Amino acid sequence: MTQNALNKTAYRVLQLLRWLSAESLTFEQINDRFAADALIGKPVSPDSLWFYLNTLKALGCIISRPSPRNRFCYHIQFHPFTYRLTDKDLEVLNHTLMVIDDANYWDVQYFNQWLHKIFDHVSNEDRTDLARQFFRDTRSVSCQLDSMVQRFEQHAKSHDLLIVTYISPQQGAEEKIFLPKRLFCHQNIIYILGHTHDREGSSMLRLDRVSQVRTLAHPELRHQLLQKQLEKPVYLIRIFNCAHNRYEALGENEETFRDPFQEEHLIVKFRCDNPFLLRQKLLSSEYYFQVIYPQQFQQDLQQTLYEMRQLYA
Amino acid sequence: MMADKTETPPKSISAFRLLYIYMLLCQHGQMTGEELIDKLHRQLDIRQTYTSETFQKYLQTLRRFGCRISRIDKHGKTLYRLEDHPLKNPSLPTEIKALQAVSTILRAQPIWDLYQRFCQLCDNLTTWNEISTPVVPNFSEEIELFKQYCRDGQLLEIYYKNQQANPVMLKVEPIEVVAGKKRVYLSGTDLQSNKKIRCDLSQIYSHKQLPSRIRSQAQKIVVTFRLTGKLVNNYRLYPGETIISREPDLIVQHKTDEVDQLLRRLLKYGTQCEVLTPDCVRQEMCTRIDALQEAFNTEQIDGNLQKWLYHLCSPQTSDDARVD
Repeated sequence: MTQNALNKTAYRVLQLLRWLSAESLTFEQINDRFAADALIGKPVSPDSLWFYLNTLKALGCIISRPSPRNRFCYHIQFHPFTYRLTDKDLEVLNHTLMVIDDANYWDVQYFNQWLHKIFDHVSNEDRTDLARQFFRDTRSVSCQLDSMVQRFEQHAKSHDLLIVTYISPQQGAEEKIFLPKRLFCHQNIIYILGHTHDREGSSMLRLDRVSQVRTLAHPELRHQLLQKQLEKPVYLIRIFNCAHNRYEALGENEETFRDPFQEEHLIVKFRCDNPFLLRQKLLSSEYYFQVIYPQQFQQDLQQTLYEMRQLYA
Repeated sequence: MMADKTETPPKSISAFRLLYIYMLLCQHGQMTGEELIDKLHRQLDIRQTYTSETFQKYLQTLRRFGCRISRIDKHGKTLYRLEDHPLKNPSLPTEIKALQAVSTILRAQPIWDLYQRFCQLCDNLTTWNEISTPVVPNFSEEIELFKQYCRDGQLLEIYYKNQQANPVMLKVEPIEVVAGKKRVYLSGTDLQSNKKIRCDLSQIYSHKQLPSRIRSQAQKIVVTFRLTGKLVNNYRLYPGETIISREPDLIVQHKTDEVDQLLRRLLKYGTQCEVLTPDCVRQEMCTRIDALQEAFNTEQIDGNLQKWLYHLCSPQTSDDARVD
C-alpha cells in the first residue's frame, strides 16, 4: 500500500483519538508520539493540534483542556466511536439475563460488571437514563461484590463459622451467627446459603446486604451446624397427570419415577438444601402437585395454599 | 452532538468526513452502502457523496489505523461491516470468560436465535474470543415450519395435548416461536378466549393453516397486585411494571398480554401476594389456587405406595423404578 492511498490528516486525527482515549497526554508527549509514528514521523505545530482537536470535538468528543489541575494534559472524557445500543439489543440483553438465571455466580458477577462497563461506553446520548432503566428492569446485581464473593467462597470452603452483619430492609442491621455452605445465583442476585443456630432449615442471605463478616471460634456450634449441613434432605413430590416426557425439570438434583400405581402421575425425588426455592419453583410451575415427603414441608405448603385462598375469600 | 456549522471552529473537513464514516460504522456495527450514503447526505458538514476512489482511500486509512472492515456483496447490495477496531471496548479476561459461559448457556437453548443475536451484539460491543466451535444453526424442520406460520400471518388450527395429556383443538393466531428452558413453544392468541397462550411444540400432534388472515391481537391487560411482608422492600420491578403505592403495602401495576405467565410468577410469592384487579384475573388466580389445593389435598396415598415411597427415601434407590 502506498502512502498516497492514505488520508494523512485523518490518520493523524485517528491516532490522536486512539492515544487520548487511552490516557491523558501533554502537548509534548503527543508530539513525541507523532514523531515516533512510522507513517507520520514528525511533530505537529500547536495550531495543527488545535485543528485536529476541533475536528474530534465536531464529531462529538468531549476533551478536557490542559490546566495545572490535570498536569497540562489533554484527555478525552467521551468519544462517540462506540456501538449504539438499539431497542432490539436491549431486548437481547434483557432476555439473556433471564435465561442465565441459574448460572455460576462468578460468571453472573462478571457478566454484570461487563454490562455496567458497556453502558458507560456506548454512544447513545441518553446512556445514563438507559442504564438506570435497564439495570432497574433487569434487576441486575451490584457489580461491587468481588471481594465479598471471594471471602464467602473461601469461608464456605473452610467451613468457617461467621458473625455476619446483615442489613435487612425491615429490621436494619442485625448480626447472625452463620455457617456458609455455598454461593448461588437466583434471578440475577447472588446469595450465600448456609445455616444458623436458631433455624431448622437452611437460610440464604443476599450478598449485597452483608456489610461485615468476621470469624467466630466456637468449635461446638460449628460442629453442630456442620452436621446440619451434611444432611441432604429428600423431598418427594407427586406431579399429577404428567407424562414423563412432558415434565420439565424444576431443579438440578432430581430423579423422576413413574407412579407405580397410577402411571399417569410422576413422582419426583428432590435432594434440596433450600426448601424455600423448591416451594417457589413448585408454586410457579405449570404442574398440579402433592408433597408426599417430608411431612413438615407438606404441612407448610398446605397451610400456604389455605392462606393464599383466604386472601380471595 | 454536532455543533451548528456557523459556530464550529475550523476543522479538517477531509478528516471529519473520514472519521464520520468510522463513527457510523462503530455505532451501527454494519451498514449497507445505501445507508451510509443516506447518512452522509444528512450530515450538515458533508452533504455529498464520495467518489469511489475517495471512499476506498478512506477505507485504506481506516484499515491502516487498525480497523478490520469487511465488504460483503449480497443481493445487489454492498454491506460494510466493522469487524474490529482499536477503540472497541476491551474486556477483562474474567469478563471474557463470563461472556463465553453465557454464550454456552444460550447455545444450550432449544432455539439458537438468542445465542446468535447475543454473539453478534458482543462482537459489536467488545473484543472477545468467541467460542471456537463454529456457529451452526440447530435446524429443526418443525421449528422452521412454525416460524414460517408466524410470518405468514394466517390462522392456525392445532390439535394439542394439554398438560393432562388430553387432546384439545385450538384456533390460534400465531405470533412467535419462543424457547423455554428446554422446550420450544408457539406463542399466539387463542381465538376463543382472545388471550395469549403458549403451546409446547412437541405436544402439537396435528395442525393446519386456515385461509383466514390474522385480524386481532391479544389485548394487553393491566393487572394490579398487592405485595406484603418482606416483598414490600425486596421486590424488584419486572419490565412493564410500575409502583402505585408503597405504604403500608406495595401495590404494583403490570401491563401484559401474557396473564398466564404473570399469574404463575405471582403464585410463587405465596401469601405475600394478592391480585387486586381486574376481577377476571383475580378470579383466575382464585381458580388456580383452588385447583392446586384440590390436587394437593384429594389424592390419597395408600399403603402400597407408602411402602414404595419409603423405599424411595432410602439412600440407595433401586434403578428399576427410575424413568429412563
